[in-house]
Amino acid sequence: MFKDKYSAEMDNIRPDGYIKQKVLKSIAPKNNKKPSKTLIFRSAMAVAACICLIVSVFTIKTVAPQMPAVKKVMTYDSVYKTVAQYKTNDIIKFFSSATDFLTEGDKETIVEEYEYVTDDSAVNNAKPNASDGSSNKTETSATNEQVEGVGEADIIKTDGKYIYAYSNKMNKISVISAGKDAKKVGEIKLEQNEGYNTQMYLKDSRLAVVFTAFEDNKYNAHKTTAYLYDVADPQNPKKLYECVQSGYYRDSRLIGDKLYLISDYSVDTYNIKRSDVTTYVPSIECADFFGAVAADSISINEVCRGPEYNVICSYDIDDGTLVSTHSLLGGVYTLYCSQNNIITAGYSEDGNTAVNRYSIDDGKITLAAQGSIKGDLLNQFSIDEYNGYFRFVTTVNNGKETRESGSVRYEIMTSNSLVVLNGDLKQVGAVENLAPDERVYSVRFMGDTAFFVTFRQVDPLFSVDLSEPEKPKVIGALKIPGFSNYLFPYGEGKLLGIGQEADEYTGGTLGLKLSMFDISDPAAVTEYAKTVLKEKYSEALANHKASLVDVKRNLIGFSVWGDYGQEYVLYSLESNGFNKVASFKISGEYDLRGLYINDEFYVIGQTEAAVYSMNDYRLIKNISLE
Amino acid sequence: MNSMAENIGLNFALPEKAFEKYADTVYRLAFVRTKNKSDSDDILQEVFLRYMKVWKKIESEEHLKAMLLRITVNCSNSLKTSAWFKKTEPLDETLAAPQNNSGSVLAEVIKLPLNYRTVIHLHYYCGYSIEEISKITKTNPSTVKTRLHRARLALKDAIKEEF
Repeated sequence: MFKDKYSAEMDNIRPDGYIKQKVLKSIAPKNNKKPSKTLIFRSAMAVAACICLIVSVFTIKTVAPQMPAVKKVMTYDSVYKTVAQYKTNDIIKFFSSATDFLTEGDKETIVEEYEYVTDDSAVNNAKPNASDGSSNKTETSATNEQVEGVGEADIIKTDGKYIYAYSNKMNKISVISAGKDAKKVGEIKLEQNEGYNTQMYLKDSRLAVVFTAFEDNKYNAHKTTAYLYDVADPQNPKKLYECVQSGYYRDSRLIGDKLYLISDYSVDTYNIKRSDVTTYVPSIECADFFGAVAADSISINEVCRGPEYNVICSYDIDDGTLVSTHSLLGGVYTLYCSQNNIITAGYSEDGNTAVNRYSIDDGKITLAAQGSIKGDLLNQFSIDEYNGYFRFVTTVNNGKETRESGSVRYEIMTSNSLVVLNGDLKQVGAVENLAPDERVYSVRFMGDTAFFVTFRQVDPLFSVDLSEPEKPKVIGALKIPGFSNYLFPYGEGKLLGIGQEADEYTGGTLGLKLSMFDISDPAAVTEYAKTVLKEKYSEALANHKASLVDVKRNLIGFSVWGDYGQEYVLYSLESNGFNKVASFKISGEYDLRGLYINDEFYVIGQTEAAVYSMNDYRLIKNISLE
Repeated sequence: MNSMAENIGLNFALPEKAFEKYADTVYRLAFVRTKNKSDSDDILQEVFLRYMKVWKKIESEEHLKAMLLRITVNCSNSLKTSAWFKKTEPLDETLAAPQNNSGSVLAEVIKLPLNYRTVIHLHYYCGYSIEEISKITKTNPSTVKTRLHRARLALKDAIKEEF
């Protein structure tokens, strides 16, 4: 009987003894008093902080938060001192994070009850995407990138002749020849300790594969790695160079032939040695560089939360050499990259977001400015550069903690703002206190106008006029049920929203939703087409690269979770609304991506790919990738 | 102030007592839902921390168990939205799953979608009826029924066992 077998196997699953001990300790009554001591300590600190703040308000007379103190380092020794201080601070930090954890719990019971709440900032891979350098003869689906000319990494890349597809399940890259007789012609295998969060770039005959690699049994031995392959002969890819830097892979961009690789490296404070620089400074290995980064390429952000570096390196993908590098001690949680600037945003100790601007010029990275803004950013789309101004959409939490008889209540009071900063990251204009109690779900800047969606029960789509950066103005707010997780421009005067439909009264989600907004008059935005799918979840809700948005051929594609695994659906926009063009099922596959090359549409899964004709969307053939 | 539990002498609902009795139950549901040990550890702790805020309202033994399972479902849902979950990558799920896959029904159950494996676990392991499961997971009874039916169908293909 199934029941007996299942019960027998289930009985073997139990928490480890020390975990039980730990939990029991945390709920035992007598231990309740301990954290309260640190709470008093913390509130004392908070009072102190308040006094500082009041002073600064009176003297500087500005509402903008204080500039974080960032200093340039000249010697390794000053880095060591900063890192070493975390050795002792760790204990205090542990306690403060432990109490954060408690309040976090309260917060979540109030708000999050949905089954599949989307994970907005998933760091994951993927997009159905065309080449960065496709030739004119072949027509392939266009990249879903944020900024024109700034390549973003993906698990699928094509040059119109060959498709390179990374399979997480098999940990290898398959090379598929395109066309009616498409077949697998080659593969690149990754080692077992490699290929974590793998993404790729394809430029001419160069394939760059970026991922996190691990070293076994070693704390903090994660390396962000880029392998550069020569794929002039796609059947026999040749590995030419390895570029390795400390830390987890955070993000990357490709501009021209310069690869910007960004990683997060936390220092293992218990094992630092003054004599060994590599124990507390990030290191790099590539074709022409080996060892710890130079001291003058490190900056320290003094209000950072922990001994974590944000390491940015640029490599030349032709010869695997290091062009430039900069490390900032102070973590980063999201970043934006335009053709000339990288903007990174990190948490700072005062609860604001610390922003840094790096100017990038053909690989040369210079830390140009630092600033600070109130509130949290959602993802890379919350940041934009236009005409020398930098615009940010944030959610500010003015939450209050109240304590009564030992229990902590956390009230969430959010509001949303749009902030405009100049090149020195000084605030020049802002609209604040928008949509109280809601938070930002998606943002898109389009030249002089910003569109963003906030949500709690109904979805206001705000349009903000930014033609005068000093005086941003809200010019429209369209209220409709549900929300969009991503907004994509869809040709002249149209904006596509991919998100979820929600019940108008409860805010519970009902299913995936596609919305088409008419934005030809930003002051009077209308939702003129909409369709709600019965499926509830799609990777497109969490990853902008997972959806195919192609205006030229009028195609919107993404994978959805059906009752039995994933399928890939294609929609087009007709005069009477959205029209479901096709849906493709590949049994037992996940992480589906779609792309087209000329007259064929490809749906690629983990171990299998399928080719469809674009005339009638009939299956031409299946290709095994194993 | 005397709580209801103390008034009627039901000290079984005390967090430590509840933990002793139901830690494994909570952990197993957490494991079925998250498919890995470390998340289950976190959920175990979180569940009982949340339980500490509600335990005084517990009315009966049955209520206690259902409440804990309800919190477990909630916690594993909100785990997905937590900052920690967003900023980290889960370990390879296959690491935590039983190694000898031949004939393991648990390995097959874990392959099911989240909702399906949850109802299978609550029904076959915890012995709850459809009505009760619908209360624990806050879903419509007919939805639970459908999920259970489909989960069985999916399982029947994979394992040749009687239900």
